[in-house]
This record gives sequence, C-alpha cells and structure tokens, in this order.
Amino acid sequence: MNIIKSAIVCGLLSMSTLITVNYASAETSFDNVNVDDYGFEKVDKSAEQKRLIDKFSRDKSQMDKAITNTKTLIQKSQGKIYLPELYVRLAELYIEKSRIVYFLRRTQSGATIKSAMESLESNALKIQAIETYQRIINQYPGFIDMDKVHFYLAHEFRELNRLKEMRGQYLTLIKKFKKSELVAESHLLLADYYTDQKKLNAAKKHLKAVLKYPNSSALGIAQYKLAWVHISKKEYKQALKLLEKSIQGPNAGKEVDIDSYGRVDIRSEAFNDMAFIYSNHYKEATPQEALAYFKKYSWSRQSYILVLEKLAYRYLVKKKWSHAGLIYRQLATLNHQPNKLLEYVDNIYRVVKELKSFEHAHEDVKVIVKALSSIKYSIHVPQDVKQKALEDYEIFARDMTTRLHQRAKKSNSVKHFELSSDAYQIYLGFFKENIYFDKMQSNYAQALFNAKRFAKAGNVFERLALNSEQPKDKKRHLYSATLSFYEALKDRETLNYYETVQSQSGLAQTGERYVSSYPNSKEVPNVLFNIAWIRYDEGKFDQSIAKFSDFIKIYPNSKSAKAAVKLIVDAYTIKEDYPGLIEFGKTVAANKQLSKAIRAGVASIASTAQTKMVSSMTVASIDDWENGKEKLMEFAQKHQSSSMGAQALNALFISSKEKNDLKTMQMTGQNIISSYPGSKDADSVLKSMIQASIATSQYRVLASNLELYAKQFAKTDTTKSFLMQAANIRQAMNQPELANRHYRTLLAQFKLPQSERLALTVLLANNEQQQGNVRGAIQAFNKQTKAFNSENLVETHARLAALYSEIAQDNRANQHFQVALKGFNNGQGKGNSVVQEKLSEYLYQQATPTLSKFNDTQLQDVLNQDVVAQKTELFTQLQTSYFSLLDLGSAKWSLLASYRLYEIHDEYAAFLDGAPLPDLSASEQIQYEEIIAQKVAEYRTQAQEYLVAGQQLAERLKSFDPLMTDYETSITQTGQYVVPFSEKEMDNKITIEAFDDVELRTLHNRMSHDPKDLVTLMALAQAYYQRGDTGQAFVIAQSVSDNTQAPLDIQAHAFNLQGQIAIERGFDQLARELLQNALVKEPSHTSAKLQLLNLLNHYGYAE
Amino acid sequence: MGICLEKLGFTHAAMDRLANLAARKPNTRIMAYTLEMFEKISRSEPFDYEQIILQIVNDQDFDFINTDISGFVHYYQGIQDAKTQHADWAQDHFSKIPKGTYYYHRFLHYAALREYQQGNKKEAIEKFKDILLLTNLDHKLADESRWALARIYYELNKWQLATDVYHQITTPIVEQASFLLERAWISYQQKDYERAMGFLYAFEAPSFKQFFTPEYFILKSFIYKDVCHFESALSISDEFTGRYGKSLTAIYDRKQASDVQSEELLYVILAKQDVKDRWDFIQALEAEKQLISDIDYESLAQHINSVYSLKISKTSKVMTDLINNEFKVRANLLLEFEESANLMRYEIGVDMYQSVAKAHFETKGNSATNTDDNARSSVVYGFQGEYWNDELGHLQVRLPNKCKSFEDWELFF
Repeated sequence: MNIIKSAIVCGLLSMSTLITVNYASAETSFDNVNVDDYGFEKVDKSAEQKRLIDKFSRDKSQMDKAITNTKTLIQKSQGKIYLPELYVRLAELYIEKSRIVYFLRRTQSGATIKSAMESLESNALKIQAIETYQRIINQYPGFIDMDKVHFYLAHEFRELNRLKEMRGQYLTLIKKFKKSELVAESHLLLADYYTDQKKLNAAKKHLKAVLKYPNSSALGIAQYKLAWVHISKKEYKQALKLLEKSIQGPNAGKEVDIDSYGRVDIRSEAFNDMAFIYSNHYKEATPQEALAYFKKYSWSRQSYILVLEKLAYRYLVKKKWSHAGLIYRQLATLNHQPNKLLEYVDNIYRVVKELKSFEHAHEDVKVIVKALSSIKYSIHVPQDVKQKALEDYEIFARDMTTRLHQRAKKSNSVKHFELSSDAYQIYLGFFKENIYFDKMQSNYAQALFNAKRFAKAGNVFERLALNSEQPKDKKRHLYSATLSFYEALKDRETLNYYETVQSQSGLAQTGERYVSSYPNSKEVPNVLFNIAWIRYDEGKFDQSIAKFSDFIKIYPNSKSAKAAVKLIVDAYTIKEDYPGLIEFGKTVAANKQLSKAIRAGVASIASTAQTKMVSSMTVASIDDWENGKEKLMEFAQKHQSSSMGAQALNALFISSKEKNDLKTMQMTGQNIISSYPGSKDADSVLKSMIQASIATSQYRVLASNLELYAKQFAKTDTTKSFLMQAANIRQAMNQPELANRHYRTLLAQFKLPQSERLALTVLLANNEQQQGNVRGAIQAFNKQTKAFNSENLVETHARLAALYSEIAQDNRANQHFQVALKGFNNGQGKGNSVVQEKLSEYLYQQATPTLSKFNDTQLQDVLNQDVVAQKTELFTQLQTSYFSLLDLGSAKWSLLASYRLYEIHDEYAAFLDGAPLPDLSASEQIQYEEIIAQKVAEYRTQAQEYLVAGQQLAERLKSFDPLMTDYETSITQTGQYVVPFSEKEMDNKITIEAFDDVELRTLHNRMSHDPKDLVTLMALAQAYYQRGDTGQAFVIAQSVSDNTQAPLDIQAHAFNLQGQIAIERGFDQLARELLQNALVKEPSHTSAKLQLLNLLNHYGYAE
Repeated sequence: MGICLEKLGFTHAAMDRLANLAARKPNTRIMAYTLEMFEKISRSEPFDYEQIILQIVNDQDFDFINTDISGFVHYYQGIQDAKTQHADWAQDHFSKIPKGTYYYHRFLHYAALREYQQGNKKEAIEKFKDILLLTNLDHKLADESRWALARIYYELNKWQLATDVYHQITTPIVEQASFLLERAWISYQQKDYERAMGFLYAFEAPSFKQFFTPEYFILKSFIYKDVCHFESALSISDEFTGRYGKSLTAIYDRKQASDVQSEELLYVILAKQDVKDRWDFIQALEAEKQLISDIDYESLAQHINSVYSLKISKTSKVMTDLINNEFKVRANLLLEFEESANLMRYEIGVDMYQSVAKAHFETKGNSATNTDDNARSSVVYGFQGEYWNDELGHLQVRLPNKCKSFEDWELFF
C-alpha cells in the first residue's frame, strides 16, 4: 500500500483543515454524530453551529412537549397524592428548558460576549419554575420532599441573583427540616452568601454548623472554607488543622456534586493551600520537616509534586533559599518532565546564587543534564529554543560546577573534591561539544586527583595529554596521568581487579610515553622507576628486572637505586631464579657506583640464593637420586672453588648420606675436604664420613677419614683420638710405616700421658726395628728421653741399650745399660718385663764376646797358668753375667742363659779335664788329678743342670723362635734366618672401590643398616680376605673377636681368620695365640685346629 | 498524526507524537487511546521507557481511565513509586490494578520477588506457587515465575524441587541459555556430574555464544576435578584462557568496549537485559527509519527522519554509557575469574596430590573393582552432534569417577 495514500485518507496532510475537539460533547451521545472510532469529529464551524442549533431546537421542542404533557397530567391529577411530585417535575422541566434555551440563544447569536437578551427567555422559565415551587410550598405544606423544594427554590433564586430570597429559603429549610440531608449543604451555601457579603462571622457560623454533619459531602468544603476564614484572620494553626481534616475525611478524594460547586476536587485544593499555610505557620520548620509533613498527607506522587511545587515557590517568595533549594531538588527526583525540570533548575540556580552555596552542584547539574537530555533529543522543541536552552543551562551547570570546585579547593576537603568531581563527570558526560570542555576536563582531572580517585584521574589526565595542543600542557598532563596511576596503586585495597589492571597498564603506558617524549625531564628517573615497579607489581618479573636493571645502570646514585635493587632481588626470589639472582649479585658487586651497603646486601642475598638453588637441586634429587646426584656433581664441578660449589657438595654429601649412597658420600666428603679445606662444614662432614665408615666396618676408609680429619684439624683432642685410632688400624692392618707416621705425629704434637707416650714410642720403635731400621728405633726412643719419667727412662735406656747393642755400638749400649741397670737396681722398673728382657738381652749380648773369648781360650800342650787364669776369669765373668741375667727373670734370655751356662760349665769342665798336668809329683799329680776330676765332674753336673733347666723352660715356652727350642735346635739356629710357616704376599688395599664390588657393597650396606650384625661382619671380613685385603679382613675380624658379647663360635671364627692372616704375615707366634684363642672359644673349631697343628708341626712340635 | 504514523508502521514516531500530546493533557479519549497504544506496544516491542513510562505514564493522574488500561498505568506507577521508596503510594496503585488482568499478575510476580528480596523466601515461594496456579497466566510471565521459584529452591538446596520447576519452563530452548548454567549448577550440587556436564556441553552450542559467561569454565573445572579427571580439568582452565585470552589481553592493554579486541566481551555485554533492550530499540528504530524512503512528502520525511535520528542518537548514547559501565563490570569479573582459574589450577594440583595419597592408601584391596572404571577412562559424550535434543538434562554423558585410578594421570603430578 502506498503510504502517501494512507496519509491522505487519515487527513494527515489536511493540516489547514480546522480540527476541533468536541469538548462540550462529553455528555452528549455520539449516536447521531459522524464520529470515527477514536471520537474525533471533523466539522465545519458554521455547520457545527447549525447542527447545534438544530439539536437545541429539537431539545426545546421535546421539552415543550414534556411540559405540556406534565401540565395536562397535573390537571388530571387534582387531589391526587402524587400531585406535588408532578409540580416538582414541572419545575424541573422549566429549569431544563431554561438551560436549553440559554444554549440555543447563545449558539444562535454566535457572540463570545453574553447579552441580557440571550438570558431573557431563560430567566423567564426559571421564574416559572420558582412559581411552581412556591405553589407546592403554599398548597402542599405536608409534601414529603418539601426540604428539596426549598433547596431547589433557593437555587433558582441564586441563579436569578435574588439572594435575600435565597437566604430565606435556606434558613427555612434549616429551621423546619433539621434532619434533612440538605441542611449541611444549606449551611455551606449560606456561608458562601455571607462570605460574599463579607460577613465573615456569619459565614463562619454556618460553616461551623456544617461540621456537625460528618457524613455530609459538604463537610470537606466547609472545612476548607472555614480554614480560609481562619487564614483571613491569620489563624494558621486552626486553618491547617481544618485542611488536614479536609483531605483526610471520609469523602476525601471523592468528587462532590454540591449545588453551585459543580464537581470539585476539594482535597487537591485543600492540599495545595496547605503549602501556603504551612510556610506561614511553621516558620522554623526545616525543609526536611516540611518534606516529611507533606509526604505524610500526600496520597500520590502527583499530589506530592503539586504541593511541593507550591511550597517551594512559597519559600522562594519568602526568600527561604535553602528551603526552596532542597524542595526543588526533591522535586527533580520525582518529576521527569523536561520543562518542569528546567523550571526547577532555574529556581535552584537562583537559590544557590543567593546562598552562594554550591554544595549540591553535583545534584543540580544532574537535574540540568536530565532535563536537557530530553530536550536535546526531542523533535518537539524548536531548534532555536533547544539551542538557547543548551547554551543557557550549560552556563548554569558550568558555573555551579566550577564554584563547587573552588569551594573544595578552599576547604581542601576530600569529600568536597569528591562532590566536585561528581559534578564535573555529569557535566562532561553531556556537554561534550562545548568550547569549555577541555578546561572543564582539566578541572575534572584535578578534582579527581584531589578526591583521591586516582585511577579515574589517571585516565582523564591521559585523555587530556592526548588532546592537548600545547606541548607544555601535554607534558604536564602526561606526567599527572603517570603520577595518578602510581598513587592509585599505592592504595591497592580500594581498587577492584579492573581498576588495578587499568592503573598498572596506565602507569606503564603513560610512563613510557612520557620518557620517550621528554627524555631530559627531571621526572624521568622517577617515571622509569615506576614503570619498572609496575611490571613488578603486575607480576611481570622479567620485564621488571630488565627495567630496574636499566634504571640502576643509568641512575646508580639515585635515591631509588636501593629500592630498584631490592625489587630486582625480590623478583628473582619470587621466580626462584637463583642463577639469575646470583648473576645479578655479580653485576651489583661489579658496579662500584652503587653504595657499599647495597652491594653487601645483595651479596648476602645472593649467597642465600645459592643455598636455595642447591636446596632445590637437593630436593629434586630426592625423587630421582641418580639424576639428581649427577646434576649436583656437575653443578659442584661447574662452580668449583666457589661457595656455591661447596654448598652443592655439602648437599650432595648430606643427600648421599640420607640415601645411604656411601660411596658418593665418602667421595663427596673427600672432595669437600680437598676442595674446600676451610669449609665450615668440614668438621661435620669428616665426622659423618668417619661415622659412616665405622657403621659399615670399612676400616681402611675409616683410617683414611681419621687421617684426613687429623690433617684437617691439628692439635685437638678429637684429632688426637682419631689419629690414635688411625694408627691402631694401620698397625693392625700391618701398615707399620703409616702407623709410625701417626705415632710420630702424636708424640710430637700432643701432650700424652707417660704410659701412652712410652707405648707409642715402643710401637714406633718396634715398627722401625721390624722393618730393619734399628737406628730409627733408637731415634724414636732418644727423642722421648726428656719426656719420660724415671720409671719409663729405665725401660727406655734398657731398650736403647739393647738397640745400640744390636748395631754394635757398645759404648752407647753400655751407657744406656748402666743407666738402666742403675735405675733397675734402685727399684725402678721392677716387675717391668720389658726392662727385664731388655737388660737381659743386653747382658746376654754383652756376654757373647766374652763367651767367644772363653771358648777360644784353650791350653796348648803346656799348662799355662795365665791361660788357666784367663779361662777361669772369663768363666767367672760369664757366670756372673748369666746369673745376673737369670736374676732379671726374662724367659727367653733366661733360657738362653741356661744354655750358655751349660755350655760354659761344660767347656770349663772340658778345659780342666784336658789341661796338661803341671809339674807335680805323682802323688801330687794323682791328688791333682783327683781334684781336677772332682771339679770337672762338678762342673759337668752343673752344666747338665743348666741344660735341663733350659730344656725344661723351652719345653714350657714352646716358642716358635728356634733359639728357644731344645738345645740342639737352638745351637743350630744361631745367627740364621727363621723361615716362617707360611708367609704370603697379600697386600691388596681395598678402600672406597669396595662399593663397586656387589658383594662388598651389599655387605657394607647391610652393616650400615645393622652395625651389630656380627654374621655379616664376619662375612665381610671373609670377603676382604678372599680379595687379598688381609689388613682390612684382620681388623674386621679383630672387631669381632674383641667383642666379648659376640657368640663364641663367631669369636672363634674371627680368631681363626686373624690367625690365618697372622700366619700369612709371618707372625707365627701371634698366629698360634690367635688360633689357640679360637680353640678356646670353640674347641672343636676344625680350621683353627688344623692350622695350629700345621704351625706347630712347622716349628717341630709334634703334638 | 500519531495514529497515522502508527498505521504507516512508524511505531516509534507515533509514540513520540502521542507522548508529546499526552504531556499536554489532552481530552480523555485521546489520552485513553494513547495509553492503550502504549500498553500494547510496551508488551510487544522495544520502546523508550523513559519517555513513555517515566514521563507520561508515571507523571500524571489518570482517574478517568478504564479498566483495560488502568492496570497498565497503576502497575507502572506502583513500580516507580516502589523504586523510589514510596511504598504506601505504590501499594495504593497496586491495589487499584483490576484483579485477574495481566498487570495484576505482574504485580503478583513483583510482590513475590519483593518478598524474596526482603529475605522472606518461604513467603516468596508460596506467592510464586499461587501465581503458577492462576488459569489465564501469560506464558512468559509464568516462565519468569517458574524461573524465580526454581532459583529460590536452588538457594535453599532443594535441588529436586528446583529441577522439577525448571522442567516446567516452556520458553524455547535457545532462550533457555541463561538458565542452562543454573541447571548445571543444580546437577552439580546433586553430584549428578554427568547431567551437569550435559547442560554445559549443550551450552557450547553456537547459538548460545552471546550467553557465555566465564562461570561456565569454572563449573566445568569443578566437575572434572570432583571426578578426578584432572587432565581435563586443567585443560578447561586452558580453555578459559583460550576463549577469553584475547579479551583479557585487551583489558590489560586498556582497550575499550568499542575496540575490536574486546569483541568477545562485548557479546556478553550485549546479552545483558538493559543493554539488550536498548540495542533492540535501536534496531527497531533503524528498521522503521528505512520506511521513510517511501514517503514522497519531503517535509514530512525530514520531520520523521529527525524524529528517528534524534531518538537513535539518544538511545545510542544511553546504550554506549551502559556498555561502557558494563564493560568495566564484566572486565572486572573476567579478571576475577582469571584469578579463580589460576586458583583452580592450584586446587587441581592439590587434589591430584591428595588423590594420589588416598589412592595409594586404598589401592590394593580394591584393585579388582577399579579395573572396570579404568577401562572407561575417557569422557564419552553420547549426544555429540545432538545439541537440540529437547531433553538436555537426559543427554548421555559418561563421566566415570577416576578418583581411585590414579595410575592414569599420575604422570601429570
């Protein structure tokens, strides 16, 4: 369908056509009128006039007929009871006709001004009605509705302005028909009459009379009017009470149809008038109280708006500015009509100017914008009006906003700045095209900043910077933006997520822009710092580190350098980037422009970082030990000679200990000690290594660890103890040279008790001697002579005597012997078997040349007395020597002395027996021979006794020393090397590599878990033995055999193994003892038995 | 003119013209006709709420109006009074709404909601139930009441009742998007994880794109996490980042709602009711504006064009302000969800750890029963490709509980 056609149909384009709305037709039927569905009628004015004339003419005609008919009926109804009612109907018809005639004449004349002629016919009809009513009164005094007749009559009198007669009728009604429902209305109408007559007291009297009829529809009007009577007398209190009652009465809000009043809404009238009275009566009421008062009596928003408008205006008139202002603002919240809103704004503006108070400017600007928004986008407001409104009210809004800002500046109150920024925001949200926009925006930014709304301020400053044309402004705004974002982030808790991100990114973006645009500005360091800080704040640590690092490079002396360094350190720490932190530490250390305190601080933190780094690797190694171990090792290697390397090794050491990776532990420990001898952990590391090697019974490693400890920590009690133990182990492992090294150290560096010192010296000397270094042994003793007491000196001298004697330094030997002997004879060294033995040995050795000489001293064919004397002298000397030796009680030397005594006695006996006879007489010769024979026999007897004694002693000692066996063997062995039973070369020395051997590792680990597991311990000893490490095997076995708590069979096993090792070492005597011990512990020990038997057999013991 | 404009299809121009007329308090017939028209259009088309409801319907007394439109007037006047804390006036208006009418039912709905807002949930439930018993209840209003009732049941942890009420909602499936998520939450609370996942899976349909909320991802993660599908739970967290990563980047880069990088977020914002209303209104205005080209009478065309241009400008400004404000709200929410997603990742890690410990602790005795579950270790969506099934809640999603089968995901730990 073509729209244009449709528009024509609707008459849309017939704009020139008069369109009137038939207001008068509200009560008229539309039946005969050509109206459309919507009630609109399109008519020509003359036609309409004609139509009305026709209509009223028809009505008049019909009315005439009705009157005629009524009259006819009256005539026919004379005497009837209902006749008065017919008269009443007739009077009403006259009145109706009077109205129609009036309209007819008015319509016919077409004039706008009423004329007397037009009313002539109408008034005549009214008079007819009056006459009719009077007839009823006169002829039918008992008519039941007589009160109505009087009331209608009074009405018609008023219509005809016959007021006195009207008054008479009302008074009659009031007087005669007290119970009539028309009494109240009559009073009301009489009050009106007196009011018009300015007889207020009379009026008041009648109005008060109405109050006696609470159910009357006249009540509200009466109250209202009575109130006005009070008002006229300035009796506001009473007036207000009456009005309050008026709007709250039973008929309040209902339209009343009282004669002459038409349909009035007395409630609205009364309510609106209350505004006037309230302001007069409650002069001290606050605006809030006023609002509350009227809210209480309002029945709808519309009624509230109307009364408030009146009240506000009233206050305005009375120059109660703050009251008016507050009420207009309240109105602005209730009303949405743009024109009304602007009216309010006008008045508000007047108020604020009068008050010079702009504290509500933010609300007022809001009202302006609310109103202008509707106007601006309305097609119904002409463009010029619209433009003017926009311009005028922009000025209002700007003025109020800036004045509010000024006030805030003056008070410097955050709250005021908040209000000010609110006002600016509203203003700027609407007046965008205004020439003051930029200036207002600048003010807005400042207000926001001062209101501590920093995030918003940053955004606005940034916008200003972007739009500013003046370079100076651009720079200032950009810096302000950066500063605002920074300030926002200082109070993070007040920001939500979005504001936080906005501020963070805003700071970075504006800051970077500022730095690139104004690199020489004095603010640049501050901005750069904050850019870096914000990256940190955002958790963008890499960027933050980079930017802070740049900052430090450029501004090492700035106040913020310290903070920058701290934040870099924090960033690395949070990232757990310890290598990075350590590298940064190096950079800081190298930057001499930074203060010492900063560098020291970072160094300390870097050190901690190293620890953390190692810790993290250590933690990682817990789950994957092999990989973790390798990494730690690599790390330690990579950072060799640094504290980080030391920490890594230490961590590796501890972890390996935890993981029971003993090889790694020992190797790492050694690495720590060798690479970081000064490490504070060295002591604990070494002790742990020692502890571990003890727990695993890895004695060779233990000895090494003890030695390492001794090397590392000289001159402590622990060191002494450890060194002693190391020496013992070395000794037991048959490593005399190593043992001696420790003995020497102990003797030289530590204060030792006499007995201990002597024991160590002896061990040292014995080892030297064992290795064929007699001079070494002598040196050992000589070094200690000054340190020994007299008791020990006797032994030392005795030993030295023996040693010197052994190397044929007789003088020295004798010197020492003499000293020793003197001491011994003085009671020192009594009971000391060593002294006894050594003195014996010395005596024995010293006697040896004499013995040779004695044996060589022989007579030739002649009896040479000198030779005999020399022989005898030597015999005596030897006897003395050997007897002295026997007195010392040394078994070995006593045995040998016995043999020698046997020999010298036998020799001397042979000497005497074979000596030529002296030149004597025969008798003398016989006698001489008898005497000699007797002596010889005596010596031989003694010789035999010595031989037997020696043999018996040898038998008892069962020594493996051939010299100490039976005499025959003894003399054959003199000066010859004794072949041990079964000496072998077995010098494998297994240390840490034991952990590469599955069996050994298993056994060691088992020991580690249960150090009391003696079965495993013996298996370990056996394993070492099998691998040729007899030293280790011996010590392990010894640890078992020394354990008195160990089961006998295991002890026997240990002794047996030790015996076997002793045999292999060539220590047959020791072996015999050990094997014997084995058999003591377990007599049926087959191996021990067999070995011992073989050993004894080797030395010629058959049993 | 207003009538003709309406007949010519310029509904908004007609309303504008009649509103202007109504503001000048014309005779009762014009006013009655105008109000009838406003009432009719307000129920079926987008319109200028401020101009029609606030400035015309609310600001005047209409004592003369008939029963048909008195409900409309009193309802909106009552609502406005209630909004501005004038409860007694509001009540007066509500009391004048003719019983049994559409607006009376809306008032009942409003009254029930008001009970809920005042914390009287039981009373609210009773009122909603009464509403739903009414015979001539508008379908849309009925669904709104059901929806509100279901939500109250949900808040009271009455899952089954909530579910039952949701089932009664007759609104077409595409329009159900916003409560699919709620139903998913209900199923989740009932530990019916498979059904909850079904709702969520349906939610992925392209038609629901504008209804997407980050909450969807969080719930999905919750479900996966609760049944120990940790790998899937973690992937959801990644999915969230994938979906909103661009928007998040835009936020971090301080982009505005109007920037193309914020597109994803803008979809969400446009689904918000007040924004949507404005958007729909602008669309309607634009569509009506197209009709101007059919008008030969230039002055009239210019006049109507101005009406539309001004209205579009105003509504666009209002909508832009709404979008900008909503953008801040949504952006904040998204950032909050991003944090939640991060926390979720952490929680998943913790749960994985705890599950490992628990599973190790409980293992041996239950190994036989676990085997069966392990065989179905992957999530199977039995309804793939069938988004438009009427029975979303019955869609088959097999989501076996893997909390006792740690071997499958131990490698992630």
